[in-house]
Amino acid sequence: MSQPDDRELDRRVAKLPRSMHPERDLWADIENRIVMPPTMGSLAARRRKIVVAGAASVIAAAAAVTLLVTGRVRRPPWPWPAPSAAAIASSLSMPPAPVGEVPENAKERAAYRTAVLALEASLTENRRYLSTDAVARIDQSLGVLDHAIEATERALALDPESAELRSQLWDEYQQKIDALTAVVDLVARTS
Amino acid sequence: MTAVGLSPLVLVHAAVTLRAVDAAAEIEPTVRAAQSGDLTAFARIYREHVGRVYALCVRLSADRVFAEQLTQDTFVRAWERIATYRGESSFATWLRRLAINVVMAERRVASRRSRRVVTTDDETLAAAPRDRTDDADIDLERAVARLPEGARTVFVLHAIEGYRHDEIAELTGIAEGTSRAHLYRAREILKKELT
Repeated sequence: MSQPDDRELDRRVAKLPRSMHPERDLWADIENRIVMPPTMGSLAARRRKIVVAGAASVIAAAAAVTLLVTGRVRRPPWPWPAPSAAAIASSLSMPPAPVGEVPENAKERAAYRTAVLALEASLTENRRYLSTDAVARIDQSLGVLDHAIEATERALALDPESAELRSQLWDEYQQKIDALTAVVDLVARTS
Repeated sequence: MTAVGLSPLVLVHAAVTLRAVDAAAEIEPTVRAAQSGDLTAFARIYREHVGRVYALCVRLSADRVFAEQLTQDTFVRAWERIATYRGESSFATWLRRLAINVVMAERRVASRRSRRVVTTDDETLAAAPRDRTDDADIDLERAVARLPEGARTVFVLHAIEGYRHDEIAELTGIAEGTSRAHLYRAREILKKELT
């Protein structure tokens, strides 16, 4: 074969396909990365993160209220209303602790409940400052999370020694806290 | 039991992008749907564009396996940033630029941590795609994969993807003159390789 000149090289380049397909479908991995939070480390690390996230979420909720009060477009009228008794009562209507819950989980679960209570109370009071579409999407997404948590708690009640289920439940708690924190932050930023 | 959950990314993405959608009247319906948080629509976008994005990542990285990761990264980033697409260029053009940015960012990270060492003996080097049988094209693909990284990048972007040297300079952070020099070098190497 003779050495191809520039024209020959250009001819070959022009024939190269502009599209190639990977040997496997990448969509499942992409979808997982989009809809699922990154995996965390050990169960112990996840528990520690729950406690830290719980405290951080309460702070975030308070910070969000402060941001709204101190000057944003379409901010609610001063004074910013404190969470009502109805909102708190509504937030307390969480699923009961799973039967057979081991004492060592109680601390983390309490932190989780405290964080969720504060965040949900704030969200309940202030959701009117979000658009209808945003509220619908938030409710749908939080509903999915609640459904997952309830299902895992029921399964854990039947199999309290399952480390896998417990790990999954902590993951889902973490997702709920992350989601609520993001929504409260969204209220502060977009109201 | 299957864990079901949505990340905060989905929540924030959906709500924050609502306002951006109205401003983009010329954007095709599938992209508009994805901008409003429709993941099914984004899956259609993926199906439509994955071949082009993957080809670009394979040729720029010279590594088919790593190109899969880069392709994933590109589409995840596209989902995160799709609200910023305003229809100034075609969506395919926007996505290609995003892919190039992903590859360049990964290179910077990789060079810092020296995580990847690609040599011409690497078995994962971008050989021709397996569904093709044209030997001449396969030879060219392999020759392109063996080019030095700078020359390969410019050759792929200019000769295959059609970018101008000023655009390549902007995308890769090199000078236009450097881009031209890389292209000249790449062409000389390829002509010799294909003898």
